[in-house]
This record gives sequence, C-alpha cells and structure tokens, in this order.
Amino acid sequence: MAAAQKTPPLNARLGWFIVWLCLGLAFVFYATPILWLLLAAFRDEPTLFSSGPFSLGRFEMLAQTWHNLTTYNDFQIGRWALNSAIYTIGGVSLSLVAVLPAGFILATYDFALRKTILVLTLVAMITPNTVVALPIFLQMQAFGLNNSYLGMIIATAFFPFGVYLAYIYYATSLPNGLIDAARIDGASRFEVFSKVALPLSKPLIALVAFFSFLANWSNYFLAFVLLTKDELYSLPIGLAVLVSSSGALGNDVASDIPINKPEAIVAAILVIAPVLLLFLASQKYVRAGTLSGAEKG
Amino acid sequence: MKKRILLTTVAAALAAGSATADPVKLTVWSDTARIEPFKAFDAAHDNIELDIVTVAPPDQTAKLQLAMRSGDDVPDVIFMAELQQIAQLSTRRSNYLMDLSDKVDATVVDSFLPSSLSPCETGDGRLLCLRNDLAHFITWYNKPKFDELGLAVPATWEEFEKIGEVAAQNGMIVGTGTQPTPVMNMLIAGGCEPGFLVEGSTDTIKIDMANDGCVAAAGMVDRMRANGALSPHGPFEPSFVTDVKDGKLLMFNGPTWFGEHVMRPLYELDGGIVAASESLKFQDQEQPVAWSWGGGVFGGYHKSEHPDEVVQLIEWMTTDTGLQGKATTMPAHADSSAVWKDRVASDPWYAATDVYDKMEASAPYGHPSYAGYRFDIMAAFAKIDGASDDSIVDKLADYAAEIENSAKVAGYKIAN
Amino acid sequence: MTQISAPNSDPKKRRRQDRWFIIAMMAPYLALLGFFGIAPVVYAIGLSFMDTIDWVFWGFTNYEFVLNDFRLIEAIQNVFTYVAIWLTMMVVGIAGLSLMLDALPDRTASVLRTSFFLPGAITSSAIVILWLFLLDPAVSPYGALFEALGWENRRQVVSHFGYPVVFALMAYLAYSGGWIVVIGGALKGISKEVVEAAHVDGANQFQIATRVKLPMVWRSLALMAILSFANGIQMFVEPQLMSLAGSTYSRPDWSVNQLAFQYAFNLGDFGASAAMSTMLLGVAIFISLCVVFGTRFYKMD
Repeated sequence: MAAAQKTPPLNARLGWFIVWLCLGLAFVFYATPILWLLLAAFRDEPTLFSSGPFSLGRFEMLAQTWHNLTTYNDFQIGRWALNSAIYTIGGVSLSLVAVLPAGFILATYDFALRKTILVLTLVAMITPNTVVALPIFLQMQAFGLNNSYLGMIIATAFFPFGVYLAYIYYATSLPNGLIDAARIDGASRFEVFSKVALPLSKPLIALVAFFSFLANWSNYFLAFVLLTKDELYSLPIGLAVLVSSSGALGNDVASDIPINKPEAIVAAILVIAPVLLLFLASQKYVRAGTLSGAEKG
Repeated sequence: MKKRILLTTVAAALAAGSATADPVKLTVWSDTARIEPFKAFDAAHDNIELDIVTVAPPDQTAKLQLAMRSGDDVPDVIFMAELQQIAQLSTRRSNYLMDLSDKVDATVVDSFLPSSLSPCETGDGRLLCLRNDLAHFITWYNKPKFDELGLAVPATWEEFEKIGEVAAQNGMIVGTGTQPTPVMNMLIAGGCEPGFLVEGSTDTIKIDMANDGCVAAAGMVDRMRANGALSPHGPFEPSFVTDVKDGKLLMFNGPTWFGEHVMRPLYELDGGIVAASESLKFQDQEQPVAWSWGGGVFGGYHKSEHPDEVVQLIEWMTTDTGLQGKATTMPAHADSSAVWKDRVASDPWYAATDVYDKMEASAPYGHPSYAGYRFDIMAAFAKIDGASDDSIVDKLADYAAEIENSAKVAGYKIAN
Repeated sequence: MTQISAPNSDPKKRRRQDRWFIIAMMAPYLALLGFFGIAPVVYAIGLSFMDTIDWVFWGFTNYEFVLNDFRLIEAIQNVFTYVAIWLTMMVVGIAGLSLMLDALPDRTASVLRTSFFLPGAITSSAIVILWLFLLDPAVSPYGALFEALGWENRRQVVSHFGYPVVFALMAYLAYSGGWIVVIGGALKGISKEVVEAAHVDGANQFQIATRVKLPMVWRSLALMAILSFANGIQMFVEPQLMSLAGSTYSRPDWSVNQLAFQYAFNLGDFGASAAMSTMLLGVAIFISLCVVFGTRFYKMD
C-alpha cells in the first residue's frame, strides 16, 4: 500500500473504472433473472425456446397461460393464494403480539431466566426443520390442529428471530432516562410499554413484520408437514405440487394437463409478486433498522 | 370433518327404511392425471363416495408416513406413479399396503397382460397392487425416413447400432444418451443387473455390472454417444424437442406411452410418420428383455375400514374397459387393451396399423425383475453419470458400488 | 441495559408486581417457545434413542446406523463445500458492493441497491423453478455465456458448475441483496467526521473504504456469516426441489438435512432421522455458541 499519499489521477480513474465495472456486472447478475422472469410471462412454450431470452411475447400468450392456470382444478391456485394470504397475515400479526412484549421485557427487566430465554431463542433460530417436523406434527395432531388455518398460523407465529430483533432494538433505542421518567410520572408498567415504548417502535414493527412476512410467505417445510389437504395448501407448496405433478419442468413423464413451462413461470411470479411489492415498500426500514443495535454493541 | 360425518349419520338414520344405504366414504390420493378417472368412479357408484386429494407423486411416501404416524386421514386407496413406493410402503417401518392376494379373484388377476403384475408380486407370494398401464420399451421409428434411407426395421441391438451410424452420418438421432431410464434399458437388455431381488426373496438383491453382455451393451451406448447417434439431451429437454421438430428423429427406443404421450403432444409430429416395432434383443439372446418406464399401480391401505370397497375401487380403476379403453397409456388389463387397440389401429396419425400389436407382442418380454425397490436405480445412474465425462464402461464399477451402498442403507442384503 | 426502578414503594411488593408483569408480557412468546421450540427438540432427542415401531429404548443404535451410512461423509462434504463457497461469496460480495455503493452519489446508489435487493423476493419453491430456467442454455438469459463456454444443455451446465456452486449461486442471489441494504445502512451510520478526517490525512477512497469503513461494519458482516452458516448447513429445499427437473437432476441425499428427511419420510425410520437431526443441531449450536460467547456478538450480558 505504498500507493502514494497523493493519488495520481490515472490511478483514481482506473479505480473508478473498476468500481463501475464491478457494479455493472453485479447489476446484470442481479437484475437479469427478474427481468427475464417478468418478460417470459408473456411468451408461450414455443417462443420461449425459439426467440431470444429477452424478446417480447404477446399479451394473448399471457392470457392463454393465465387461462390454463386458472382452469387447473377449478382455479385452485387462487385458493392457494388466498390460503397463503390468510396464513401470512395471521402469522405476522400473531408473531408481533408475541414478539414485541417479549423483546421489551428481555431488554428492560433483569430476571432469573432472562439469559436462558435469550440462549434458547438463539438455539431455536438455528434448529433444523427436520428435527422439529415430526414432533410438531404429532403435537398439532394431539390438539387437532393439523390441516387447519389456526394450526398453521400458530405454528408460524413462533418467530425467535423477531424476538432477537426486538430485544436488540429496545436495548439500544430506548433512551435510558425515558422509562424511569415515565415511571416517576406515575405510568404503570404496562403503560410504559404501551405509551412509551410502542410509539417508538414503528421501525421495529416494520422490520419484524417484514422478516416475518418473508418467512411466512415462503415457508415451505412446515407447510409441507402440516398441510396434507390440497385445498389448504399454501402457494409455495401448491407451486411445487403443480410443477411436479404436471411434469412441467421435468424431463420425465409428461402429463395431459396444460401446465407447462409458461404456466410454471406465471405461477412462480404469483408467488413472488407480493414479496416483490413488500420489498419495494420496505427497503428503507430494513436499511434503517436491522443492525443499528448490533453495531453499537 | 367430524361434524359432517355426524350429520350424514343422522341423515342416514332419518332416512332409514328407504332402500339406499349410507354410501361408504373412501379417501383417495391421486396424481393430477388420475383425478378424472376417480371422479368417473365416484359418479358411477352410489355405494361409495370418494374424497379425492391431489398429492404430488414424489411427496406421497412422505405424506403417508406422517398420516400413518398420526393414524388420521390415512387414504384408503393411493395411486403410485413411482413404483419405488410399492417397496417403500410395505416394510415394517412403513407398513401401508394391503395384501390383495386373497381379496382379488384369480380371474381378475389373470385378466392382466403378461408381466403386468410383476411389480406388484412379492417374493413371498403377496400381491400389493394392481397395474394401471404397461410401459415396456419397444422401438418407435420414423417410417418415411426409414423408407427414404432404405433401412430395414431392426430386430437386434446390433442392427440398431448400425442404423445409428447411418443416422449420425445424416445428422439424425436414434435416441437419448443421457436420460437414465432409456440408457438403463439398453444396459439391462444386455444383461446388467443393477440390483434385482433374488428369486423368492424379499430382501436379498444381486448386483452384476461386470458380465460380458452388460459390458458389451455399455460399450454400444458409449460408441453411440460418441458418434452422436444418441443425443446428449434428454427426450423432454427443449434442445431435443427442437431437433425432433427439425425432422432429426429417426428412431427411439421408448416406452409404450411414448407415441400418445410424447411424440404426438410434445413433438407434434405430423400424421403418417410414427410406426412401432417390437423390443430389441442382442444377437446371441433367444428373445428380447425389455425394461419398463413407469406404468403406475393402485394400492390400498391394509387397515382400511372398508376393505371390500377398496378392492372394488382398485379393480374398477384398473379393469374398467370404458375407462381404460380411453386412457392415453396402454392398459395393463387385457380386455381394456383390446378396446384401446381399436382406437390406436384406426388412428390415421400412425404410419402403421400394427402399432398396438407390436406393443402387445412385446409385453411378454417385460423384464421379470421390473419392480419397485427402496433404493433408486435411476437416481444412482444419474448421479454417477453426471459426475464425470468418462465412458459408461469405465463407470460400471462405480455404478455397482453406488447401488450396493444405497441398497444396504435401504435394508437389503447383497447376494454374491 | 436500562434498569427500571420506580421509587417510593415497598421493594418487596414492587418486585412481586414486576414478576407478574414479566410473566404476563412474556407469556405468549414463552408458550410458543415451549410448544414449538423446546418441546419438539426434547421429543426429537428422545426419539433418537428409541425404536419407533415397538417403542423400546435401544441406546445408540440409531446413531450407529446413521454414522455408518455411506452417504453421510459425502453429504457433509457437499454441505461444507457449499457453505464455504456461499459464505465467501457473501462476505466478499456484500462487503465489496456495499462499500462501492457507499462511495457513489445517493441517487445512483439507491437505484442499484434496489436492484440488488429485489431478487431476495424470490424464495422457496419459486427460486428453484427460476434457476432451472436460468441454467438451461436454451432459454437462459445467460445462454450466450454458456454456449461460449461450450455448455450445450442444462445437464452440462450443472455438471460443470457442480451442485455446490449452483446452490451457492441460488442462495447468493436470494440473500445477498438484503444484507447489502443492511450493511449499507450501517455504513451510512458512520460519522462524517471520521471519514473527513481520514480524507484530510491523505487517504484515498480505496483506503478509506478498506481501513476506515470496513472495520466499522465488521461485526455486522460476522453476524451475517454466523446466521448464514447456521442456515447453510441445514440446507434442504434447494437440493430437494431439484427433482422438479426430473430424475437426471434429482439428488435426494445431497445434504445432511435431506438424509434426515429421507430416513423419516422414505424409510419410515423416525428414530434414525431424529438421531441425524440431533447431531446436526448439536453442530449448529456448538459452532454458534462458540462464536457468540467468544466474541460477545449478542451482548448477552
């Protein structure tokens, strides 16, 4: 690094050239798949192969694909989308109800089991799905919650990563004197949470909701285990079933139903569209919130 | 759920005295292609009501394990598109399948085409399923091209290889060199034994990938891959489809469903092109040995509360001539196959009227060891073949080792 | 640590009220933690010592069976190769791109950052479906690149890349964007004066990035690495769903987690499955706790 105290202009220009080159390549790498996917929705099976990867299809082709998709099992994919929405909204709401108070307490009170709970939360965050699949299945069975909306929602409301986020947030973002001041002013314990902490929690709520939504909407394993009735499938499970039972992408036995590559593409877009919108809307919260705490720690 | 059952019971009680009995409710798990046939059964039978659940074939075993663990929602009848499931679902640990041997009449058993039921029959005499369709390998060829090039339809693999050379010189192909099942068919035809149950045993398998016939067959595949007669693409891959549409497919050793299921809908070949001939044999063999590709089966739950209705449903699905005669795949049931035959024979899309006759004539050549195993022969092939660009002859030993290991993990003993 | 101490009341009574408040507030989460976090793990550990058909205790038989599985070594190699490649890509890619973006004017940076962020929306089954297309030269937008390399079909592309690289690419595309945004946020938090001071001292952009900014986001990068590691060794969905492309691509025993799945769901051997997952959990916990307590990342005290 004897690269001189005074940088020669040539070096700087070369440096910037490299930066832009890297960013350009990265842009191509990141943007291409989504762009391709969105354009591919407008093409039918033959044009998918015959014309270039970014060529434009026609709207009628999308319409035909959409028709094939919606007529599959009486618009079953619509049902799956609705299910996914129910599971996700329920799961996100319930997880917020559990996560926010827990994070608040862990960050502001010192009690005997606090450290244990934090460690268990961490362990829960990294527990492999296969460990808990069968036990959870059997427990839910015991309570008659398999194959039910309620069961899926309760199962996905358990969101240890959210507790960790909330804990970090409250531990670092609540001004030290604020709570004491509120208590002295006669606020009850709960009012400190509801009237002081919660109003300051907007970024946290956005953040937890964001990650919880992401985890719920794309949940595959738990849904796979808990849902055996196809009218209760979520979109990711439905998509896999649709593709594997139609052989749309496979190189094995094909089937007669008109679910082929374009239908698989459109169905995939259906799965990712809400997340895509959410991502566009919530980038600033992710940017602002996630680790501000960890950095200071 | 419970409420509904209760309601129907109450309704039945109220309706007592009237002639119709309360219909028996059966839960069935189906792939997408079997939904309509199940619905047809439901419509045709007043005594049985079906609750049809769509399950993706690869997920079926897993979902059954869960259902059996809990004892709830276990289906009464399932369709098995993957024959592996027959073996997976009849072990001590996952004991699902009902033994049909004392429940299905001998006349019904005999009404299936030769070799149809071999995947369902176990070494200890049980019958675990009935077969939906036959899917043995026969020879499909492009008749106009054969005429144009002055070629005779092959009866042996040696002639097949020669035609492959002609095809390669003309920029054409005679099959795939990568799709596991068709390649395995050639190897097994030569005498390779990628893990077959020893006669009369349920858990001892024999692996032999080193006998002369096997090595010779592997050598043939290697040579045909090298000269391009066997495409480096699988038959459903876009590149292969494009080649076919460009008129480059001269011949294909494919299963019986290849015409109706692939060449017509996927390759969109014109009428008057496709003809078929019998399974091939090697010169020194007395008769061909044909592996199969698929050919699903129906099985029932041994703890079902309605075993009679289960048997009735399975029998109907596999032997109803009205249903099976219309199927896209060749019915395993002889009478249904006869109905199916008339349809294929009068179909002008085929370049010959004897396509079905060739299929039927080849049925007895179906390999007696074609059955489901708890390990996956084809996955083992895909794994070894995909690992390097070496020739198949060089990889036979790796392949044998891979199968031996997988078989042991799945609880099989290896015979020497 | 903010300690709450309300004055003017009997300390004993206060502590009792505190306790009830803590219990009430923690109750929903603790119930979930118990039901979905602790109980299943305890149950699974119990299962791993049982024969799950006759329900008899049989010691380490399941562990023995699992450790003797010939696929285990291979699966471990697969997973660690994948994790090594993926983590390298993540650390280098995320650090590099975040630092570059931080040096750009805000508007440009924000457009680029969004474009990096969006692929994270593609997850679970959709991601595999997308990649099955991306890896097929006949339809892929990268087709020209593959053909230039002489790779004519998907099978060749997959076998030349190798599965670890394919899965690493999938996971990188999906997860790096979010972290670039996160690290970008952290970089923005670095005070202007520090950067200004370095500038005055004669440091160029490159030096500021590597010597001033990078050390300040180091903790975030390390945390990212831990979480990714814990996630990576449990990979399941990607290799499992490769079978959507048919038997040629099906690798049902590629990862350790898949083996655990196979024991349970193909062989019906839930005891062996529990033994395998218990070991996997043990490894994940051990490594994470080492890092956590060794470096006090979570500031547990």
